[in-house]
Amino acid sequence: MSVDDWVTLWTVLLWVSAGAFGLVTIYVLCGFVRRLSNFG
Amino acid sequence: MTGTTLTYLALFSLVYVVAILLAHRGKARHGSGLTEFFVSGRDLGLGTAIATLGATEIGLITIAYNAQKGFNEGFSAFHIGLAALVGCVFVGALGFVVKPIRRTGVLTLPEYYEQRYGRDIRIFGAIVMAMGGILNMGLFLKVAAVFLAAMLAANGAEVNVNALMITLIGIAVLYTCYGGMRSVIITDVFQFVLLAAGLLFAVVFLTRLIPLDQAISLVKEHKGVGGFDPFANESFGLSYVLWMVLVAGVVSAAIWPTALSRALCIEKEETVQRAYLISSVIFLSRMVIPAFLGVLAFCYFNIPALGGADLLSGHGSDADLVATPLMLGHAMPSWLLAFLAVAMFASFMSTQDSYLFCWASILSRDVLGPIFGTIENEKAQKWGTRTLIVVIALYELYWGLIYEGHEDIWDYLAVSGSIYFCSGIVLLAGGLYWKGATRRGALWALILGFSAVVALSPIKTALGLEAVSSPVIGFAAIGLSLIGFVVGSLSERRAPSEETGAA
Repeated sequence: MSVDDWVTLWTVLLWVSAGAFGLVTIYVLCGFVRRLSNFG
Repeated sequence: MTGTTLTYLALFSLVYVVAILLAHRGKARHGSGLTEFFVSGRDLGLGTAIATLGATEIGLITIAYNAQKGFNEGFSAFHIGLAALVGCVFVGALGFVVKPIRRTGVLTLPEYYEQRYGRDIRIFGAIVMAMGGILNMGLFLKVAAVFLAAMLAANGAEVNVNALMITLIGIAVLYTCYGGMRSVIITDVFQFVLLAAGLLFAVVFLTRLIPLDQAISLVKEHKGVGGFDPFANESFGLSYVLWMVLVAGVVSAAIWPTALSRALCIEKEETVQRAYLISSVIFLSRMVIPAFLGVLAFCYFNIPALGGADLLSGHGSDADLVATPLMLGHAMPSWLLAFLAVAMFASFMSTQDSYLFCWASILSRDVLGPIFGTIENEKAQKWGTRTLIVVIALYELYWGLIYEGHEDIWDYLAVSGSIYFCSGIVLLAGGLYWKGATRRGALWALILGFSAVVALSPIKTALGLEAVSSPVIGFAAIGLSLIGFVVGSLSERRAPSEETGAA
């Protein structure tokens, strides 16, 4: 693989990583809020 | 500037501590009992399982060692995240170990050893497991303290970091002793949200300061091909990449007790695989995002216009470790730095509580329990675990000050962890998937797997093995353990027929 190929791979991986991390966090947060409202 | 940061820090810390207290509001409704204390009543749903897995596996130590790798090796350090993703997808897709171990209904992993191999293997396996785990967490406190001290000092905020770390550990010890695994999990959920938000805010803020294209150009200029290609990087190479698929992926998800114990807490067996599949992106992110912060730190100190060039001087061999926190402290506005600091507290504590509870419960339930006949005695088990949590926390304070190995942090963690997992992977996978496994095989595997201890820097030096890399020693230890397991099992199975024949 050339350096440019590696750059493409790591760039995609970085944004997938950040995006997926954000989505999972929102999913967990929604569940947490729903649980808190159930307590109330 | 200093006063403002400290004010924000005090405010956010107060909110954080109140959140820990509030999270325990509904705890009393869950009752008591061994199942409640050790596996949180085994009632975890999908979202909670993902959060607790994520929070446990993203400690401040994770952020520090990945940032260190990113700073030293550039983008090629991202391969560790890719390896973790591949390993965790493998575990999630096949349910490798996690699904059958949940089916056994055990409360701790060594308990499975007894089901499968016998009581003595339970005790011996538990000792090896706890020893590897406690050594593994030896650097957590020291590294976290260095990281936080650098981050706050770069902003001019004077904080007594030793007192701060003792307070954080103290709070984690208190709530973990109070509620056991239930407390670990209910705090994990909001700790996960907090640390994830902190990391993402930091990335967004810093990429506005150092755009990705500029970071790529700077790494190309200073590190060349090795800054992108892990196979061309002198610190990595093929054996290292393969070692990472095993260590950062398969072992971290399916063998390492703090992660695998979450599978034991999930309510439905079918949820286990889904939780691990979704968590595979967290196993990717937990490596890639901090490594990217390390890359940005490398760039930050190579862009004179940003004014941070002098910050690194005087840090000597610790420069790669403190570079990222120094950048964060220097570049971030006060409110964001204070928020990030509290997110770091959360990431530190969410790992501390899980690790302390995991090793203490194993020692109490699987070593002291069988020896003193108190395995099913709820009172003895709870107080045994609580006492050991305090003892391990004190030991961690001591070990953090005396160890003077020369591995980088991640390599130390991989090596110390391998003391357990070189035999752990053989005993767990072998027991679950091979009907022919026996007690003798398990015993030989445990003894031979312990050879992984050779990879620890002081021992390696004493034996004159400096030229042999840690991944090679790790693979050799797993190979030895596997051979011992198969040969021991086969010889024990043949023994009765040989005796019959002889008679």
